Amino acid sequence: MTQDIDTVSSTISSKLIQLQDAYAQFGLKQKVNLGFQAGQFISLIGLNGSGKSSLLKLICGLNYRSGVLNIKGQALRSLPAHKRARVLSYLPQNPPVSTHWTVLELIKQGLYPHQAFYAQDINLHQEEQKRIESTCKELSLEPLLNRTLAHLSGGELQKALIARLLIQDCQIILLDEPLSALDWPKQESILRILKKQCIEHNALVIIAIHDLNLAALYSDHLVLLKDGLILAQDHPQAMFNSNLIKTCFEAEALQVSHPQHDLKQVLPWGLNS
Amino acid sequence: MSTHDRLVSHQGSAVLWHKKLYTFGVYGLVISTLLSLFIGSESTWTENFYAFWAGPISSQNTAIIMWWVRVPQILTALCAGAVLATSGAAMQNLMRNDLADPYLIGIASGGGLGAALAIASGLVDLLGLPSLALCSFLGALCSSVWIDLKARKLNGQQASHDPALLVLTGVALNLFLSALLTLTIALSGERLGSIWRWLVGHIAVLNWYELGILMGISLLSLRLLLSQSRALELLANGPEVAWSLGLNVKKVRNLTLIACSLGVGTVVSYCGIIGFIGLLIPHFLRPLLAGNSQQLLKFSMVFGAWSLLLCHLASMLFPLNIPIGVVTGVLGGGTFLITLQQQGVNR
Repeated sequence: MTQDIDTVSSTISSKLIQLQDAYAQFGLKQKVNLGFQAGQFISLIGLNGSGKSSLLKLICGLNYRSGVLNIKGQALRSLPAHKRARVLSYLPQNPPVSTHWTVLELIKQGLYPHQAFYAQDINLHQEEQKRIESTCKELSLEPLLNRTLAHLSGGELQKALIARLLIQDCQIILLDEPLSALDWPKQESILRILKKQCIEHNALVIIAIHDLNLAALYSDHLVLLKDGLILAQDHPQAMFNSNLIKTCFEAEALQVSHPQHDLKQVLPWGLNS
Repeated sequence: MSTHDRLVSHQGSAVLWHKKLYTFGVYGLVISTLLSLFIGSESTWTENFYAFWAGPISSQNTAIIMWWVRVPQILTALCAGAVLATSGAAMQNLMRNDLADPYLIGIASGGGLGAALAIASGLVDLLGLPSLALCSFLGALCSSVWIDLKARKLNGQQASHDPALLVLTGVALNLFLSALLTLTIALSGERLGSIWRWLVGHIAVLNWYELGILMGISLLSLRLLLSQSRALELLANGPEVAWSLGLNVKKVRNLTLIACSLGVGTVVSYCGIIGFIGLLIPHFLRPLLAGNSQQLLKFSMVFGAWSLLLCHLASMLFPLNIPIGVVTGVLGGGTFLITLQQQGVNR
């Protein structure tokens, strides 16, 4: 009997995030049973209004009503705010910002959970400085550091927000459609950076995304949502092989094989099809 | 230029420039304080200087004026300016609206109504002066909590988020409360006879007991607000991002509302409704502090105190000794209109 309990608790704690019979306050019509492991890249897929954002908010605790919601085996809601923010970071869709901030200032906000309560000084530690430098280099934000947010394009602002998220340096990274304002090479470079976090730092990335092809290329798992219900969670390959994509999007997709990966991709039909 | 150089040089130049600005503010504040201490129409500055050193217990005429009129007025102006500007900056970050000024959105008139009710009902005669501060605090708190709930509701509806809507709501609340205030004054008759100056906003001549209450509460309110300056900067990201950055949003919000209501309520109960300081000072400082926004509250405190003192000085120089609310209205409102027009042209 005790052994049973031990195995149960070990399976729970092996998951980085564990949701059991979790109810959301809004947007989801079912109780959620999901578990995610460290190092995974998860994409939430579905039509507009299918509950992707609601599920993300449920996972990070903003949309939580009842049930089990654990990170690292601990109840998320019981964690103090500072501690939680060192493990879990979240970037909502189109978050409000003050247009008077400079890019550097925005990025430095990501250091907040790591700083002491009284840390008001503007000078950075060497290690923090290095982290900011490397992140800005990765996202090619260096020339923009002194600009105020009022003078950025939508895509540049999006990159700065992602930089802040990366500076927060959490093992769990949740993003709500972070690629919507970016051009396609930028989209892929952001996904590469996120994937690198998974591989090198054993991070768990959960992302709500519209682009099915990119999701399939970079994700370990897709979670399909429809009308506030979770249809399925599986590998992209299995997903494409089944009929689930069609059910989810209520449309027939023109599927082709990716020339370099053992993966299906979706093409637009075009006219005269 | 490498990223490292950029980071270092950017931080260096921003820090240097903000330090200079701050020093400028502090020096200006000190010089204006000295000027308003020693310059006056009734006596020369040497007389004033000796009166100052004679101390408050001296029976000299000039010393009495110095220690029972001038010094209290200056201290009142400093407190009021610092509190109004700092709470303005705090409310603007809290509500994510650059127009959320305690005067414009009805917090000041809430405090005013509380104070007027306390005087009219005879509560102050019964329980003493601290009850006046308490009542105006409660009045300010009620209106600020109400407007905050409204702001959160408006900010929640992302699609229809229009900054003007919150201000309109605030202005409506302000008008409503002001009308109630006028009604209270009209009904109270004798008790609030000299209310006119108070309604426009003036620097009252307080005795040292009243001044002690005002200064104590102002310092407490400023201390609370300044301790939240980093948190309030993060809160401009909206509650969700602030929450994910590890901020205890509820605590910050409650603390800010209480601190603002405390400060603004008390200032209003003594000085009446002095407009524009809370709107103008952060408005001008915000672009100057790019790269260092978490210092906004600190700078607002210094420059708010300074500018209200300058207004006080200007109002003293007029022969009629006009109320300071008129000066802030004319100077502040005028400057604001001109800036808005220029911004319109630039766009």
